Amino acid sequence: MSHPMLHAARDAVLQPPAVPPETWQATAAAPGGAQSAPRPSAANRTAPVQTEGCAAVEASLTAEGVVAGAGIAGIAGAAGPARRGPPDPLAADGSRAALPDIDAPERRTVLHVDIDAFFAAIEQRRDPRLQGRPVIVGAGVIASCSYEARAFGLRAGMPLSEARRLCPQAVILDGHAQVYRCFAEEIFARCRAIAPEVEAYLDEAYCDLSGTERLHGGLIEKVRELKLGILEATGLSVTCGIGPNRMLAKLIGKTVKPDGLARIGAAEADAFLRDRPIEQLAGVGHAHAKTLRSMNLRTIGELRALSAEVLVALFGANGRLLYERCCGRDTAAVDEREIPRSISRETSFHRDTADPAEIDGMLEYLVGRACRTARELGIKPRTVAVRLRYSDGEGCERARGLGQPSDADPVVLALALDLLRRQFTRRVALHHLGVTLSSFVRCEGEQGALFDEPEAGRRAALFRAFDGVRRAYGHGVLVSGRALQLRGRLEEDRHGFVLRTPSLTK
Amino acid sequence: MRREAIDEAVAVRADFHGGTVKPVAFRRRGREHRVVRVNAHWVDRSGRHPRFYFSVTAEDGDIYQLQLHAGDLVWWLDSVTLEG
Repeated sequence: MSHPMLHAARDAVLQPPAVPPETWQATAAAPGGAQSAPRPSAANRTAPVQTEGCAAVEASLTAEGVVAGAGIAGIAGAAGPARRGPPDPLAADGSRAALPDIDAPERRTVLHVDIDAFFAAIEQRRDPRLQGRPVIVGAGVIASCSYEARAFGLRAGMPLSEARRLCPQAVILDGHAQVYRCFAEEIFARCRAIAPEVEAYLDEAYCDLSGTERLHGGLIEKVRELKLGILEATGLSVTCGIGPNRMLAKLIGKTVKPDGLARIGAAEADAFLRDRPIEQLAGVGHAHAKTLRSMNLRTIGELRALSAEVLVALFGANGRLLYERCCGRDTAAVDEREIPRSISRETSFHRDTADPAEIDGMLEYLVGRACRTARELGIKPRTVAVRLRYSDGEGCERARGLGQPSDADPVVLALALDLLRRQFTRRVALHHLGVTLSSFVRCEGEQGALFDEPEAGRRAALFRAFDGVRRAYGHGVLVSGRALQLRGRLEEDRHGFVLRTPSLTK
Repeated sequence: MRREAIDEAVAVRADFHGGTVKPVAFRRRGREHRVVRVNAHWVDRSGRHPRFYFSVTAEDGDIYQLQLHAGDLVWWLDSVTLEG
């Protein structure tokens, strides 16, 4: 290892920790960990919390953010952005009133809901003959696998060829993305009933429960009710983690999968994180983990010995986040994301192809899906990117800005086709194709061009009409231009063509 | 497992009770298939009218997917999943 920064980092391991001493004093004073949480006492008004699942975690119930969480409150407060909330009430004498500041970062309560083995569990529900059997959902690679399959060492992302070798008796299914979306919506609707802010992904959601303690009474009991409601409505089990921030909520949930429920307070964060493998820290992927392990850093606790500056030098802006996270701090808010960062539609071909008609048709179809989503959200992209991967594994991606933000299929498609032509230069079949829209502006906030295209208004009305028809009768009822080339090559349902990558067949 | 698309409108006998619907039997090609178990149900709300889906086990042991379109209240037999 010759990188000078790595030498500096190694040296830093031997140096005293470069964090404010009060942090270390506080974290050192923080008692116990997930397995040895502080005993409740009348003095700090804590109460034992029952947890479900594999691990029994005992955490402070009422005082975790106030008493126990005070250990890192100063640091977290300094790092955390001010969040929404009522104005600070002042007492008659000008001093702060006694009302608690429920939006202070140290008082946050985040619930992480993770659907257990999502796709595979739904397939097992739909067909009881699959229950108890190893089930894989995916094409090319595993998108999801049942817990029975995981016992054979199968994991999401593993190539199907390897999965077949490890578990020949596994049942492999293509997947039904539209069905999974319906189940997910049902589950997340139930989350929205108890949390004012829910940030939902495909199979997990973060719920901001800050300030809802008085409304819900016991949070643990409320979350238990949520789990039961989801199980009764969908037959699916979820794992729930409650913590003072997103990262801790997710991590504590991981310890009680599947069908578990656990809570961690800020005071337990230090001991809980200290001995966990470095890979479990959010933001540490394969590459980062390899770098850190080469420096003999194997646990999150060992990572704390590196200063923020060293981590920034090693990993760029992500290093600052790692520094905060390894100390148990995560100030990222739960965000409903009304405007997404990007809208991406991509898929693998059922059979690798070099046929220009099929490739152009697929690109037009993907652009149509992405643009329709943008129109439904009332946003227009400024940037279009096209990503492709050849059958030999080599891939490339190129992005370019539109002259004027646009959500019209022909405008975006013209640029996407140009990007495709510039990248698809090898005489090798394509395996994968995708389009990504980004840098969005709100439609009402957009400043139009001085000399608008004369047909722009009519075209917008046309696509609004298309969207109305598709909303009523399904996306597949209208197929445009080059996408007609996909007819006969791909299966269709009312939602459009059935793409190979199930999670992306939106 | 082998899934075969059917996509046929079928006559279904169902229980509507307490705001929920549960298919009891369906008739296809002159033959009545009794539903012995509703394995899963879900709702697709992406269109103008919701569509209610049911995965059911018939008495012959096969798994069928039924769909009730709330717009015209027509039942559809979407598919059958066969062992093997």
